[in-house]
Amino acid sequence: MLDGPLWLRIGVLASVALYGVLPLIATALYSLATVWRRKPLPDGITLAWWTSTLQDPGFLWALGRSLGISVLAVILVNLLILPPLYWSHVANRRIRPVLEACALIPFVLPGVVMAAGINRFVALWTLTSRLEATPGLLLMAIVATSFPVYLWAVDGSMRAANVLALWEAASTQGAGSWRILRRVVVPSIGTGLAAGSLLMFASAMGELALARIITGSSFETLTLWQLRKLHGTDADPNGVAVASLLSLFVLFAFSFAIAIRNRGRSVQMAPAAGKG
Amino acid sequence: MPGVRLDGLNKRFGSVAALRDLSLDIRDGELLALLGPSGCGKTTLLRCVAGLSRPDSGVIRLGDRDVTDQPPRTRDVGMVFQGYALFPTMTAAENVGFPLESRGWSGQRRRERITEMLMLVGLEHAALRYPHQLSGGQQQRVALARALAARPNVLLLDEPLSALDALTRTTLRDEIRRIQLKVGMTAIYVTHDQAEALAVADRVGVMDQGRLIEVGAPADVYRRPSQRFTAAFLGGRTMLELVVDAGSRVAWGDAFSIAAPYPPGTRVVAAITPESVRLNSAGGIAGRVVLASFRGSTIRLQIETDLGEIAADVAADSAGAYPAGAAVRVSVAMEAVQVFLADGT
Repeated sequence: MLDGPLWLRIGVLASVALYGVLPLIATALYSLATVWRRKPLPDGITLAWWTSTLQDPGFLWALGRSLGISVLAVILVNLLILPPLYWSHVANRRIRPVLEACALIPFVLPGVVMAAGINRFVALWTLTSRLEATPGLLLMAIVATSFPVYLWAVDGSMRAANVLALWEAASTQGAGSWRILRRVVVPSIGTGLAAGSLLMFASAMGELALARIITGSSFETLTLWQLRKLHGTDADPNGVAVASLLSLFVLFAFSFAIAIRNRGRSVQMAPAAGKG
Repeated sequence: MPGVRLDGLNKRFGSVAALRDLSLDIRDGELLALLGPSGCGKTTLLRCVAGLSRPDSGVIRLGDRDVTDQPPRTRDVGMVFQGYALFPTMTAAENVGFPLESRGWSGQRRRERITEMLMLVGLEHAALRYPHQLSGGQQQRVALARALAARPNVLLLDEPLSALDALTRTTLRDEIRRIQLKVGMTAIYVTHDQAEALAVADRVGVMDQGRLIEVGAPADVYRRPSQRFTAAFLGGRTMLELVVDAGSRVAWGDAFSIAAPYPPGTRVVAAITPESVRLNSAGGIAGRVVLASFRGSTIRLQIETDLGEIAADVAADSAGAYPAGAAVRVSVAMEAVQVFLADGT
């Protein structure tokens, strides 16, 4: 809680709000600006960038690809990470250090190094070489490098929900581990799952290094489209601003849906202390 | 046939032995309370019976089944936990219905059983409430209904009242006993609270350092404990370290003198319950009240004498006669004195 006189509290809050909102306002104005030259506000306002971007098949395909791969990444991370994480809480704690070590790798290795490594790794064997430079490999790479954000959000909510105690109670009532996961654990950690999925979705939507190196222009995602529109021969920086705002809108809609679903419950994003 | 038979259970956690060669038979329909200080192994024993911990060696039988290697879900037990462990996203009725659903009870039969169980614990009006909308006592009632719902062979209660306030604890303690008698289910009740254990159980088992050192009816264990540890743990006894005299008697000044079944010179411990201490105007040994604590129907006095300190209970209405600093003379009802070897248990 912030202490001090009212004017100071309002001033601090307003400064923080301005710091967060100003880039957003600038992007929104830029997406509507006819021309914007060394003035606080654009020279004129137009919807031309919005209409042209929304009618650009390249943009729509890129947005569709990014949305598709992000949704698939969320599904995949739930299928791949939730079961071992659950198992590490209720049955085998030795899984936990392995998961945590894996989660640190993306923070140690730069994205471009990992992307190049992943591409070369699959090329080593005939069976896997067919995956090289494919959207499937991009999806797997995104999940492999972004799963820590999901892991930490869900892990925190599992600790807060005291999943082990729930599992023990449910198992003495005749339920098997899968039934407990489905009927007891998943509903109890709904907020953490939603937060983890949102972070995974956001991370996948914003992935650039992996997409650029693994698939490149053969599977142009939204970030690759934005990059091309910033520097390419058909540069369209106002269109990039439009795409950024739309991307933000998608994430905001996702967050809003989660907030509605978890009315009143706080989102546990970080590991919490277990209940005594 | 026993409801539960434990044979030679051992369990270690690293270098700590939680259970040591523990054997125990619990009769069908009997409620056995396991009593002991923190870390004595009582909860470990309960978890082994539930299947939540696996003993290093030994056999666990529930009814005529050897369940030692079976997972919790196939053991047919119901368990009540200290922290309730209700499922937070399920209503009271859904919580009670969960074990029925797990064991394949059909819709109508399940609904009837849920209603029956909620009525049994007096919570039929709270069927649609979520755990966070219930008080601690109500939550534990739901947990009890849930544990009993699928008619398990054995009910396990792990410090079920520890998290509740004193009034709720007493009420729910009696309720648990009433319900257990009504359904006639074999039950193991783990607690560190001697009043709770003595009040609810058909038999009380006292545990110390992983061993079951004594089992008996509550009155017998309380009045005539066979082990020194039990005497010290139960009843607030004063434990006086004495030596058997040349006449093979154990005496504490003029307060008491009793025959001892040990040779002269043996170091012994005399256990004296506070209610067996008499305060007289003459005789006994001289002492002085150093502390008086109100306990409802009695006052517990700590009396300092030249030979050591002793606890005595007097009727609450005589409290005015024994203020702190009051001079008293102390004697002990000899039939209530128990003597144990100082080096034994």
